[in-house]
Amino acid sequence: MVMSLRWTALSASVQGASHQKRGQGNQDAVRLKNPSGSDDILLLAVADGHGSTRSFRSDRGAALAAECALRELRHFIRRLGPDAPLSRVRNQAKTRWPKTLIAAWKSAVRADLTARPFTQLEFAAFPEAPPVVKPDAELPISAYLAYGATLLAVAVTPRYILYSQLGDGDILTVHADGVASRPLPRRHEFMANQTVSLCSHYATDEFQIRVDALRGRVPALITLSTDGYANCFGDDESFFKVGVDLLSYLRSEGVDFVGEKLEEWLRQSSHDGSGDDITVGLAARANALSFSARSGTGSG
Amino acid sequence: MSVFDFAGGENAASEPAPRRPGGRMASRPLHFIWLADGSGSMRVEGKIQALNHAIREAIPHMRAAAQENPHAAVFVNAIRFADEARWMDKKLTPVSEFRWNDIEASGATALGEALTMVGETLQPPLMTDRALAPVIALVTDGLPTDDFQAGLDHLLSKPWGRQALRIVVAIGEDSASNEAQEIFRAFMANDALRPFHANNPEALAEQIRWVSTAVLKSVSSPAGQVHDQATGTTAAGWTASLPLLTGVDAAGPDEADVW
Repeated sequence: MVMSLRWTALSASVQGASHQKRGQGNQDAVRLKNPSGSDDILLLAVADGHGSTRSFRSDRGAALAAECALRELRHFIRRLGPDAPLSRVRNQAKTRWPKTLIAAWKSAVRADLTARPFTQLEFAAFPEAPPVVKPDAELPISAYLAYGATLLAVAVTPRYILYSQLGDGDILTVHADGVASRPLPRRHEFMANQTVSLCSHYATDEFQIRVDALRGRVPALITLSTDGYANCFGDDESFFKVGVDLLSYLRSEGVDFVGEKLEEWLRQSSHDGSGDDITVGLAARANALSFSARSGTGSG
Repeated sequence: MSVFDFAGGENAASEPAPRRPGGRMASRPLHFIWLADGSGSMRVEGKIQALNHAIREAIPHMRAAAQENPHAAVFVNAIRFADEARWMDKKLTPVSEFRWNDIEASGATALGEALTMVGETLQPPLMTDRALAPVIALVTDGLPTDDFQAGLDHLLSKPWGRQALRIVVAIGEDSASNEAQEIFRAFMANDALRPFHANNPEALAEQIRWVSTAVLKSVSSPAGQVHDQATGTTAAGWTASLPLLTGVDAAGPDEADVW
């Protein structure tokens, strides 16, 4: 049976407490699209700009990444059509989607560079001259590195959920019974702030993709967060509790309340935890938010 | 898929006043390891006394630097290497509690063994995914006498050994030899880094203090680094967040030079 599609998306993004001290702006970006009468797909994208000396335009790179992800994911799903077999969706998501997204992001970076060429000052600390956009010539890796960002994206359609991840960051699902999990396995090689990203040479091979049918055991809540959030917590269990608590608050206090409080919670977490920028996008299934305190379980 | 079940947990939905979501927060651990040369050659011209003095004096500065960043929890330990390598403390100690025990100089230079010991230590469960890159600071006046390459290979075979920022404070003229420089380059494995060089006690104190503060501060607030050999920002991506390390070179001869 196909689930009734009533999902709501929320997001918040805060500058890291330590970044504030250093005068460095928020390098994260988030974009979302709630389902509407004419367009029944929920889209959510969270990007984390590297923020290193070499990635001096990564705030732009992250914004472009989140925008590209929303636009291209919508096109990708529309092109597949509403009745595409899930096996085809999975296959296309793993083979075509990474290439589509990387091409779109690189094109967006190129357009941004055309409008705002690198300055000598931006490259003053590096041995090479600032790369220049030339017709029919690929930009060097240093140009993309300047915009480098990781990307998490989720699409919820009436028939399936598509999860996509490139680089660090966390996607969590929380079910109505309070079980939190990662739909995509954590990559333990991402340590000490090292990650793959949109500017990596073989980025298309680094995507983690999963497509789940929207039937049976469907999450009540999906959260996407930059690595600054998980790094606030002493262990995975403490971080997973974020998802469980958010679901709990969505049920007890309502979506508007969580929407209002989310930024404050993130700011507090960055201050008390990692000090990093934190960005969260969440998608909640409306019919899982009605809560019975006595039974401790939600419907759906 | 990793799964945690929180049903009926402490933060059940019936709690009246929503607090910050999530469980226990913790600063990210940062492990700082001194590799201190305690070989016989360090006895000459008071080098070992200068080393002991420099690190002891740097510890309060290190604490102050660590306090400035509450998002990192700095742990310190040291290995003295001579005929054999030996940890100073039984475990990595919070910087607030770390005390430098003066080391003596005698015997050979078992640097390879010291590197093997660091490689063994920088592994789970001590090292978790959320740890910051460790710092390994080598302070030495010369060449190893044991199998340095085997020790280095062991260290670099461990993920956290490769991720570590490895820096060198080289003491005296002997450490400026081509052979020594080759050893240091292999240890740092980062073309953008140069060993710090000290030819007198004042310079040594200055270099040690810098390593204890500026390096610590930089490593404790890292930016994202792209894990991609092709971009030239591998573990050596520290060059991005440690620009001050890239231009430092051995100082020329000075009248104050004693080593």
